[in-house]
Amino acid sequence: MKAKDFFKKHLGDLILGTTLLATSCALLGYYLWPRSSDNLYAYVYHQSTQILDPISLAGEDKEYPVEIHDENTDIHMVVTLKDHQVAVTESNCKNQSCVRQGYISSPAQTIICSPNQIYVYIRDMTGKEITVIDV
Amino acid sequence: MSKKLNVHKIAFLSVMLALAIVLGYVESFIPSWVPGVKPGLANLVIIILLYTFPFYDALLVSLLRVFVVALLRGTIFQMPFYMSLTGALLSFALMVLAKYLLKFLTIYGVSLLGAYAHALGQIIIACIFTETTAAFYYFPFISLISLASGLLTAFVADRLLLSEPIRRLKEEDEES
Repeated sequence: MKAKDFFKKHLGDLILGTTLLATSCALLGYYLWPRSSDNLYAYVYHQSTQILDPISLAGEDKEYPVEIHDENTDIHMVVTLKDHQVAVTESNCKNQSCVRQGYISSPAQTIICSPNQIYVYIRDMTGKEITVIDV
Repeated sequence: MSKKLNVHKIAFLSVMLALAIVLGYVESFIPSWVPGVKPGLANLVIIILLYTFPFYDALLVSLLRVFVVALLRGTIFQMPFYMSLTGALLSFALMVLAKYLLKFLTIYGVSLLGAYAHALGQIIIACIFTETTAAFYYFPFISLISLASGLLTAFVADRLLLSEPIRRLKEEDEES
């Protein structure tokens, strides 16, 4: 098949494929675009409940243990802030995908521990109120 | 004569269902950031059936595949099952609409659209189950993998649809 015939036959496919690819790449760029860590905060949630005070990514390196133990829940995790990035560095979940994901530092980046239902988000809080929880 | 044709079709659908189950089962072991999210390799079978028989045959195989794989993995009526079901149904609906309404798309466009919808459907269910939009962060990564998978699927399906046995089956089905 000649190149001209190929493009004529697959023009619709090429437009669709390019549009979908561009959408994915644009979303990827938005998530991974480097930003200043001054106003970035990591939020740690269990299900829909915030369980730690927001962690400023501009802060000093520190480990934040997450311990939830009751009748139905047995969670041990450690969220680590290092070099203005956060990661789940320890977890008692079976698949360890949250630990393998490593450090994140961009807004909208998320670490999901599905077995423990723990979520770590990063949000740009410029001009927004920081929610501090009562412990 | 009619009975013989039905036997051919049923045998072919059974083989394709078995292939879809094997592909679905194997791909569930591919490591993923979000548990249960799969690239959609089993879509190969659905694409072939969609371009060979009426759409309801492909829909039946797609649904049976989702249920049997969930039974084999022990995840029936759990989050991965609903993710798989939603991905399969959304993908199927868009592929059928694209095939019959968007005539400017070939099998490649239909497959790409199906793969993308498959990823989107799974992420939507993950967001509903986790009660957050956190899972959507993974969508760009998963959708890129799905697009590659959709392209590969379309290429293989396009070649297989040219094979003599499948063409004969299609002709027999159209005659009956």
